[in-house]
Amino acid sequence: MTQGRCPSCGADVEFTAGSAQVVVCSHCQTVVARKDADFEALGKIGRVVVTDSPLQVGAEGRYDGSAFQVVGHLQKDHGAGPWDEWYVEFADGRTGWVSESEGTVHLLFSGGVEEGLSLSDLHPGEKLRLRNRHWVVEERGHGKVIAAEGQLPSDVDPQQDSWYVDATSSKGAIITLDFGVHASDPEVFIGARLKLEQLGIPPDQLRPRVRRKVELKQARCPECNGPLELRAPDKSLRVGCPFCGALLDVSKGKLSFLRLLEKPEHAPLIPLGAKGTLRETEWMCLGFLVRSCTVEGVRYPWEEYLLFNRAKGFVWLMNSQGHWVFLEPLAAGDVQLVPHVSAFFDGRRYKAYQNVHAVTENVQGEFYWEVTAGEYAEATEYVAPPYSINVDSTENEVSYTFGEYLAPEVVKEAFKLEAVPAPEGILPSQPNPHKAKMMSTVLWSIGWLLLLLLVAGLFSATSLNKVVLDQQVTVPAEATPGTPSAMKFSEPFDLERRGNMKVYVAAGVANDWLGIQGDLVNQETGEVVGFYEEISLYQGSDSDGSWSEGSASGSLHLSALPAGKYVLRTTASYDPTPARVRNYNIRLTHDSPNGGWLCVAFVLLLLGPAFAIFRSHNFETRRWADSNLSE
Amino acid sequence: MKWFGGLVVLFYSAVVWSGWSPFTREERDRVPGNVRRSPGGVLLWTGGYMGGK
Repeated sequence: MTQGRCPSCGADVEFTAGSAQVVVCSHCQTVVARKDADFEALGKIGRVVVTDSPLQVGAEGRYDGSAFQVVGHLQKDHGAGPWDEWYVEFADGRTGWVSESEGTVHLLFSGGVEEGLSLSDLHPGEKLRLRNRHWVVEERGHGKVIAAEGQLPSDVDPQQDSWYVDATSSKGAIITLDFGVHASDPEVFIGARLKLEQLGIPPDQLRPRVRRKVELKQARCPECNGPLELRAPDKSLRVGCPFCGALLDVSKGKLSFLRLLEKPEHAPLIPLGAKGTLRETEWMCLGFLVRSCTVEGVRYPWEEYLLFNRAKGFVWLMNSQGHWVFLEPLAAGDVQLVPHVSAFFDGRRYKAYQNVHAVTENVQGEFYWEVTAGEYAEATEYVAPPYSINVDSTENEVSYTFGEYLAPEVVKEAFKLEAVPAPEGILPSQPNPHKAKMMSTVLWSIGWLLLLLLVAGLFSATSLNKVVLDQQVTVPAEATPGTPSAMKFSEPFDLERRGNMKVYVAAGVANDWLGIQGDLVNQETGEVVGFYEEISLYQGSDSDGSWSEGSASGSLHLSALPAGKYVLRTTASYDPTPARVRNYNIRLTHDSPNGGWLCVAFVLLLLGPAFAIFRSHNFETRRWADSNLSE
Repeated sequence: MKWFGGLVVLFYSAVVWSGWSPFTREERDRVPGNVRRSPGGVLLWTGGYMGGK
């Protein structure tokens, strides 16, 4: 420990952190550096303003098995309100920086200087290979240190506007490239995204969450004097007046008018300030945006509701034509992206659906960033219904969100809304309502098909399938077709039991035809079952080559015949010229299962799944019809 | 499909079991009464019923 007096005011100052090079005098805000045994004043720095951060100088914690203490505090301005960074020193000599953002803390350690990197080459959304990892640049910006307290590793200059690039990788890894003022080789700070609890700081050493800008809770619009009941004044940087449409800036505890916006076409479906429970978390609706894109001259608007929970931060509800999507922030590094083709996240592939230029049109309520009307962003959506990955990128920042489609009834029930509009059209991430039905239909069909095959197998196994007559018939050349001279009687044969009959006829026809009239006569009862089967075969060749038509054989099934003794009478018909001997074979198979019925049943069972697949596919076709990125 | 499939299987079972073949050119009739039996007791006739032709 090094103790002494402030060269400026004479108050006691001390260095407790071995790594610290300067300390900020708590009395006069002079930055005091130690030079050997002497203290030197380096100028004054602003006094920190109270923010909502729970950290404070002096707090002690434990991370990764090593104790640490918060020894310094920087407050920066990146153009979006104060940003806190806390300097920590570990018992093992390591030092790091902790920053907090919407319920998440980042602990970063210095990783030395990285040579060969250029600030101008690093754009939001671009990939970066560094320190054996893949990173995705999320933000590129610049800012100044505006205030400081405690002990710090180096001098701070409130005049310096330094540049930085933030990038993320998988599993919560984060890296900051500090390019300083000269955009030279950056100093690398590498670390991880953590929950506050993971820092191991006892609750009694955390500062109670105080609400800054308390006076804003009951503020009035400077434009129309309308009462503005702000729900998160400690978080909000922009306020959209619901009465006059004025967009207001929140700075230094005051509201100042920025510009007048057109009022939305209708009031928010979820009233500002309304509370609702989604995913077992109570959210408060803080803000309402109307955004749109224009494709081929047609404007497509949608609404976004900003929801806030003090422990879980900010999420979004998007309403597009009655369809709702719950959106959560996502680290870019957690997503493997093939731009405009596909995204991979959490073991799932998302297919690129659309890429549009989204413009913010209307603003109501409170926002944690400096939202501006007319702000453009390139929005790309990747879908794996009911989920989606949404990438919004501007010149200096890219943000990823993970969306899940919600049924309108879920939103209606969560926020106790009287009514929500009925969905129109198909949302890119809308789950296919016919898919489950299709799967059910297919599974049932497979089940019934298996049963059908089983039943058919049983019928086949138990059928006689017995050839009761196999007869070669010769019709003399002098016979007259269709008359008794062309008639032939078979020997009697028995049918053991009731059953159907398969008739097979074959003849050596060539460019000829032969018709067989058959009559099965039950010898006991005199009942006759008559049938006619005609076979014909014609063949030849022409300019297209050889051709043939018809067949030299044919078969048919007769309905069931009772058991008994039968005789088959066959009478041949044919073209009598030229006169010649004609031969044909006729075979009767008793109790032979009719395969035609199996085919009919098979087709009937396939109709259901075919229709279900068609309906589901048709939904997908209509879904992707509006995509401007699908093949 | 849950019920329709069952009906299809039932229908298939019924038609196969009954041996019904409705789509063939099949005619049912009776041998004319004046036909006499052959010496072996077999009904043989060359006139009368001609299978509808």
